[in-house]
Amino acid sequence: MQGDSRDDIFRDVFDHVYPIIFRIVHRIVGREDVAEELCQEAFIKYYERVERFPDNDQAKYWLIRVARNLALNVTKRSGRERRAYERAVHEPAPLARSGEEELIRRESAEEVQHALELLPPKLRDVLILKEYGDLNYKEIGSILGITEGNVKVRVFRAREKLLSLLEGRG
Amino acid sequence: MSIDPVTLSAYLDGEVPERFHDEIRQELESNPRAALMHDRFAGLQRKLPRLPDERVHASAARSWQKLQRPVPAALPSLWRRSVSLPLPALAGVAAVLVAILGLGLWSLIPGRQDARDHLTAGGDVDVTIRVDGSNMEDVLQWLVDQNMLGEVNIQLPEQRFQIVGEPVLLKPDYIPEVVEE
Repeated sequence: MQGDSRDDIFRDVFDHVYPIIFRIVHRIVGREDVAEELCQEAFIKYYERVERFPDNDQAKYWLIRVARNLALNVTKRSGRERRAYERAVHEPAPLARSGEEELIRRESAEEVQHALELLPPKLRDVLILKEYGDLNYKEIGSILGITEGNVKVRVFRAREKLLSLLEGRG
Repeated sequence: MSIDPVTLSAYLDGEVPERFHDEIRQELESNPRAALMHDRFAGLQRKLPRLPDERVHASAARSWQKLQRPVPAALPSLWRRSVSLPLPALAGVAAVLVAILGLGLWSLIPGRQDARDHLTAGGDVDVTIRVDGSNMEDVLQWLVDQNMLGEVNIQLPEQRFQIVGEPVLLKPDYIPEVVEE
């Protein structure tokens, strides 16, 4: 990192972290255009502070925290969290599948979306960071300020709860 | 099941140390309940909707373009700039400010008027002119010339004169006959 210019460091972090925070923020707000704007905002804030981070990992954790908080603020303000989640399902249809299979698959994805939204915030947070941020338990613990053990238990409980919601057991 | 479900969930995420992997694999092969739980968790992961990579990369490219646009330099906040002034200059500025403030406050004092404002507003002006008796006629004539003669009150020393009768208004060209007692 020493010897790299500010812009080089910024570019390096952007390339590595943008996909992570975009997926996380998109999962929270449910819209690609909103997620894109929030990610840009997070990176603008980061640019003002590039020199303050000892390494790119710390920058990554900081960006994820900031982006996540921006996204949560948006969902709180808009009060339309449910509809944002419902609009967020976008997946390309595999060529080999029939129309009926595609419909079943899309309905299934929407069900998962809805169930994800119904999770308690603490469980949803860790699951989103794990499944969409592709972060390990230690990293999730650093971002949320909890222990690895807590992360492990919360991920398990989130999966259990999600499965029970999808199976109609509540 | 000898392996707890939390460990099974962590195993799916690659969070279990490698020295336990053989034991877990054996458990999954021999224990249907453990296998079922593992499959349910794995199935859930596959069901979670994900954005395609190309859409994520496209968003990254757009965002990078936007971030490259020059941003107007933010003006430094006035409150956070440090300003140093020599003390005499500072004292001078303070004195000027106090003087301006004082003048401003003085001008706002209600009812304060100069004589011209008062006359313009049609107010009466009390003027006291001290003259000796030899100049009285000249004074009255001057007042007439200035068209300033209205009511003239003559105050006489009390010990030399006695007030007799009712006061009358005198016009300068009217001198009443002396009244014989």
